[in-house]
Amino acid sequence: MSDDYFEDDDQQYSSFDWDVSKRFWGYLRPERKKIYGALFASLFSVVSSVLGPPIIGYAVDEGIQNRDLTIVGVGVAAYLVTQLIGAIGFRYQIFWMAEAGQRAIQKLRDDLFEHIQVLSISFFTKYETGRLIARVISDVDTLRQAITFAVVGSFRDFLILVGIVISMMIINLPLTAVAFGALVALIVVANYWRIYARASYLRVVETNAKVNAELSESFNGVRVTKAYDREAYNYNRFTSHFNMNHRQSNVRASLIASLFFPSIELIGGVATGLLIYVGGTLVLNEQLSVFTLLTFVLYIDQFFAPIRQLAQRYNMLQSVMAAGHKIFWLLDAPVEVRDETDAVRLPTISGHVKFENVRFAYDDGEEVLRDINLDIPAGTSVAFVGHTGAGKTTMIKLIQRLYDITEGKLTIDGYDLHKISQNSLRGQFGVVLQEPHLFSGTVMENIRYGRLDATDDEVIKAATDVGAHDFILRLENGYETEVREGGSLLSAGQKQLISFARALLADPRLLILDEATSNIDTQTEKIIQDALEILLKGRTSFVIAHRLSTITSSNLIVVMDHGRIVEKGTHEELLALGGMYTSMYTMTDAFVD
Amino acid sequence: MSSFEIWKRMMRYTSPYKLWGGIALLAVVGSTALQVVIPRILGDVIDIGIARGESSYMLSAGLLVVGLGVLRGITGFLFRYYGERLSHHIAYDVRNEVYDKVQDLSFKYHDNAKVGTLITLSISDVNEMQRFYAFALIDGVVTFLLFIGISIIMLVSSPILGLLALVPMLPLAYFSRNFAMTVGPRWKEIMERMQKLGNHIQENAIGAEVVRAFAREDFEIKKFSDDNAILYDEQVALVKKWGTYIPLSTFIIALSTCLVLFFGGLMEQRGIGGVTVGMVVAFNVYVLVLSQPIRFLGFVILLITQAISSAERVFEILDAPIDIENKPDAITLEKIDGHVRFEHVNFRYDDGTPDVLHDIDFEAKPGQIVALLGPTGAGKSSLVNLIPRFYDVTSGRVTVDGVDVRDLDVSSLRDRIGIVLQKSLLFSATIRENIAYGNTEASEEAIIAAAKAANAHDFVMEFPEGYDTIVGERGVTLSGGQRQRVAIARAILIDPGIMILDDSTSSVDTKTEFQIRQALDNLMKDRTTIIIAQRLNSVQNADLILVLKDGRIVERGKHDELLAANGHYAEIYRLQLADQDRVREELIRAGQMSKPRQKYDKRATEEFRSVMRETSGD
Repeated sequence: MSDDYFEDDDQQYSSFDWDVSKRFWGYLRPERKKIYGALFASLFSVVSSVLGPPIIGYAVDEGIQNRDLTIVGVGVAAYLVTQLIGAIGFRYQIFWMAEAGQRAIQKLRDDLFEHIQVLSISFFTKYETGRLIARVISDVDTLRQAITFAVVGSFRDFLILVGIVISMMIINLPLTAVAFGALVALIVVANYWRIYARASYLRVVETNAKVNAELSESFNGVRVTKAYDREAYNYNRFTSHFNMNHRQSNVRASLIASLFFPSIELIGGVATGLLIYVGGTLVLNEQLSVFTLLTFVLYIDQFFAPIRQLAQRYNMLQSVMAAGHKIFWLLDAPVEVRDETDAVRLPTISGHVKFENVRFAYDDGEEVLRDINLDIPAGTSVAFVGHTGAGKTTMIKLIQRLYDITEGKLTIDGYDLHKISQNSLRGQFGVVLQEPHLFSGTVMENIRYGRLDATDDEVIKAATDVGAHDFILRLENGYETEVREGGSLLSAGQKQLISFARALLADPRLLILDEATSNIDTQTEKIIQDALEILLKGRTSFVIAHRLSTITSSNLIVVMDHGRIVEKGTHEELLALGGMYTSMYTMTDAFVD
Repeated sequence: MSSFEIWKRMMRYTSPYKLWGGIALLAVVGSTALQVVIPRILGDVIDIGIARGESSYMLSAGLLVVGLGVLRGITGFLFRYYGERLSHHIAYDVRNEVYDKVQDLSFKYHDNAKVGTLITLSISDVNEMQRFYAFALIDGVVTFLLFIGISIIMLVSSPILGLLALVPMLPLAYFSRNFAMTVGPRWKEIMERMQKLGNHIQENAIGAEVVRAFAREDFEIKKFSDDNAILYDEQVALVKKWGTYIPLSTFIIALSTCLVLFFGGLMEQRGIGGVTVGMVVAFNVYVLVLSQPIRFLGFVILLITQAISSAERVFEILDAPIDIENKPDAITLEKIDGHVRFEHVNFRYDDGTPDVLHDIDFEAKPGQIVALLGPTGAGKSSLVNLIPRFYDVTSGRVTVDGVDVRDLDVSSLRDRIGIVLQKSLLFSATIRENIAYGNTEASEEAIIAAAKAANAHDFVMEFPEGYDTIVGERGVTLSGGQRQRVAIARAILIDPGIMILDDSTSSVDTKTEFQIRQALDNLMKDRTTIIIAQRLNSVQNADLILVLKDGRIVERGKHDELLAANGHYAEIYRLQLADQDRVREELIRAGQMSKPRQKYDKRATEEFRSVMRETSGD
């Protein structure tokens, strides 16, 4: 995989791609019986389409012309039977294909979602949520439409075309030449058209993506826009640039399509005219039967429908290939942290964490941590202190194994983190982050996320312990209040209290608080601190805080600077040392630069 | 809004494009007429050409069909092209209107709106409307005209045979209607289900760290795949409806063909109603010609239903009231000194909800720093949002330079207020564009000077592309502190009369925070700064500190006064800073630390001042 996360959006794909097709076939394979069934069923509708015109021609020529009602009756009955068989065939074609295609699509969506669950955290900072949703929802839906309607449909259309040509050749060879001439003309036109259609299609996709991106930016940033009085500037740019380009590319695509489809009608008209003249003259000279003429005229009409369909599906094919590419790119996005095949389940731990000569660098080689040696006995409360970019957050991400260390050894209770299953490790953590994330659902459900089998009483107890109970009761529906997106209902501080309750309910062996109280005012923080004192007893905890007054009672304070540990000890020990911690604590570091 | 009103309003959008609409409509009528004529010629070929043996007729009929084919091509092009052209122009107009409206709607609206919904509306719903103008409208007209035209011709040629041919169209119309009616709601269900899946993904992407932290991957996968399985059922059921309707309608049309053939033959044999062989053939083709659009009817009805519900959503936004607008005689301020006064202000977000601010009364004079402090939900952000008139007060008034903000031109007011919010939003553009967001005319020098003053210049220059570095999801990811500094530079660059900092430095460390504060002190010397902070050390030197609790000012004064008062402020101080100050004093007394020198380099801010003076031509 390339480093460029956006390649998938910017690349121009060929209009047909074997890799994409082969991989998608992998999803269809388990359903192949139904697909073969659908293909078989489509043969019936092919036969009925091909047989219809000669039957009508026969009924008219032999029956009505000769005033033989029996023959008319036989023709009508035959026509009805073939059409019935065709209709039933078509029904089964659609039914079986819908079931098969949809099953494959369901599996593909599930796979994508499962993959999202194992991708590393850093993936989400690069790959926008909107694009993720576009992949799993709209791109997969593009594939679905193609598989449900286009694949067997194209097969059927092609067979109808072949069937009609064969039938024509059997009935009358010279007249077939006329129809064939029209077909060749069409293929030439279609082939020429394809080039323009592709270029205009790509341009539409491009301008469309830009309108999308611009709308998303503008609407997300509408408050900033209003604060800076930029509405008119933005509006101008949108109307004269993004939206204008979008309109122009679409009008151009319409022009190209509008030139093509009527040209099918035009060629059809010419072919029919020729047939009437040549065929009619031949009938007059008694070299041709009315049956033949009529069959051919009806055939010409049926001839062009599948060609139209096939041309329309050409545009679809392009979007399908593009969608397929992007989907499989996402499915192939590498998982950075993987369980080893022989990963063991971590038993319930006491919480002894040990860093030995740990080094960590990101993929791009940027070194974040160096020479980290730290032995944290079970039950210790640890605080990481340092300026922005010192590596504090990286430390706690390594402990959770959200990233794998680059060098050295990191163990918990003597277990190498590399060799245990991620699930068994993380199940023993409680985490509260700077920006609390709540899921849609009720307040009750959000707290219960910490331990799914907790009773209502246990949830309420956890909320009470962190001081969240009172404000929750004041909400519209108490614990049953729905948490909304954007969360305008809850303040940042309130959300944070809920996430504290969630962590407490999990009854974790290790607790991580990453700037968890910077959005909480001091009074509320005091309540939480009291709750934490009980909670932290007997557990190992890791805390990051800018406000140093909150971490003075930690058992161990680790001072970090530029990816190294520069000081460690208790608050008193570090103050006595008179180093970096002292200057940070006394806020004198700001002055002496 | 009733469907009829929506329909009327949709038609109003076509009025600027009457010419194109007219061309498309004429072409549709022409094309339909041609389609009606062709089967007739075929019938005549058999009746006149063959039956009477007129060979010259063959040539003229052939030429006529070719000529009609050409005409059909031309009319087909005209109605397609002008129809689609019109539709894309209308989509452009509607999208512009929506964009404009979304930007105009006040904060109150956006507090309750989901961005995702607004985006879907401006894209998918406008696209649905576009399809309506391009396809549903034209295909509706084609179907209607064809049906009328062919019915008339058939009924005129032979009333009995015509009626027979038309009888199966009745059940067909019935099935089409049923199909459209069942498909509509099912389609909506599927759309909602997909939206639900989309929300699952959104939550799991944004909350990935939480899901991992609680090891809830399997739980989330199950939630997703359960909904995905329901989607399977819903979608298969819908396709099956379609897969039943299409063959059924094909078969009904085949019935019509059979009726024409058999009874046509019978009537021709018995010589009833002047039915000829050619007529039977022509009728046959008529039925075929008619079958196409009638089968399409279900689809057209579906398109129209979808377009009407989409248009309804669009119109709902376009009609949403804007509660903050300029008065007709609004005063435009050329310049703001920054004299802000709150006079007995009460405020609530919505009628029927409790007040979030009670009797707020204070004054910030030019050159002063006013700090707001208080617990979560005390109303600090609500208070500052009243100054740029993001919301209107419920009672009392807010004045800037002595004028009620409701009497001011909103643009001129906001132009002179620099705001840095708690979570700074940057746009996916270069750092330069982001800093110049509020002042697009700013010179390069001014941009750099503002960045220097905001302490952002150094980290910007560390990027290989410098100020051309693209930030955001498509570019480099800035840390919280870096984002804040760019946002502060953005606020500085508009050279504001009032600067509002809404808890904007809690994610930078104390050292950087100090430097930014010094720069702002220097820049805002004769202007007004209003600052919200959780950390006490950033408000200590304010001219006025307001402690808010439950929407009321419970304490006011300077740092020393408030400490002496021994109330809320003193309590916060004890929790946050008392010990740190004590340790520092002790260390200084013990001679282990020298008295801190306030070392701050004023050059950056002086540079900015002089650049701004030059460019504004003072």
